[in-house]
Amino acid sequence: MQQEASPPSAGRDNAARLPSRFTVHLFAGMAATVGQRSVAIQPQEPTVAGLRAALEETFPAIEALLARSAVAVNGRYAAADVFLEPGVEIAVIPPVSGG
Amino acid sequence: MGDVTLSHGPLDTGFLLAAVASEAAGANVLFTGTTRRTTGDQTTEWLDYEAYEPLATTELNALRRAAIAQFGLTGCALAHRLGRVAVGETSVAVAVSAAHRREAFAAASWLMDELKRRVPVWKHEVGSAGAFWVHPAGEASPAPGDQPQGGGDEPAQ
Repeated sequence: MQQEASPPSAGRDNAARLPSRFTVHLFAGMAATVGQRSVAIQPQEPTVAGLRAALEETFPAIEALLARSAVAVNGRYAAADVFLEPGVEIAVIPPVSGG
Repeated sequence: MGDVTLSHGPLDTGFLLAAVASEAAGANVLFTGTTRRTTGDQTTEWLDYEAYEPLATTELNALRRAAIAQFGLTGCALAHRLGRVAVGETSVAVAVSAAHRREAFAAASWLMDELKRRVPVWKHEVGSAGAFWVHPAGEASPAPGDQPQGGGDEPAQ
């Protein structure tokens, strides 16, 4: 029996795969709260949703702002189910205030 | 400055307006947003802007293309300043030209609404209320596939 919940796989055996590590760019109030402009995150599930969960777990102080933030993958706003390929550029986009 | 600019120095708004001029244009509108001293009873000393520059450039280009198509513009240029912007200085500029003024005014207004809604730029305010990043409450960031909103801003026929 597995100790950890494993993500549903599309016909692939993920049991032997280690979670990938991603660099996540942070901005504005998010970067100020964390105290860093980028962080390394190793989500259990390599998706945008998995990344959000891992960020929240690692930095509980950003929970409220993260809930109002978008995630961009390779320069495009990305939905929760988007799969994160190794090496993609990831950024958390808190509510914007340009103008 | 090109059609879409993120600038770490002062914006040349005269250049922007000249860049959209053409013989097809009968109306030219320049909007500039400047750092305001007072908001209610609070005073502002300066603003510092930062952007996620690759995505901001992509979004500004998408807004420019959408505005040209939606309002039938003959010219469109967008610029946002980054870094410190003192009171009275310009942080954002939109220049548009069209055959007639109605489309030009509508397009400039629509572009500013969408820019403030979608483009990943943030302001850090320093003033009597302290120093803080501005993340407007009640507004979530753009969702994926969330396109520029045409909504009720269609130009009059």
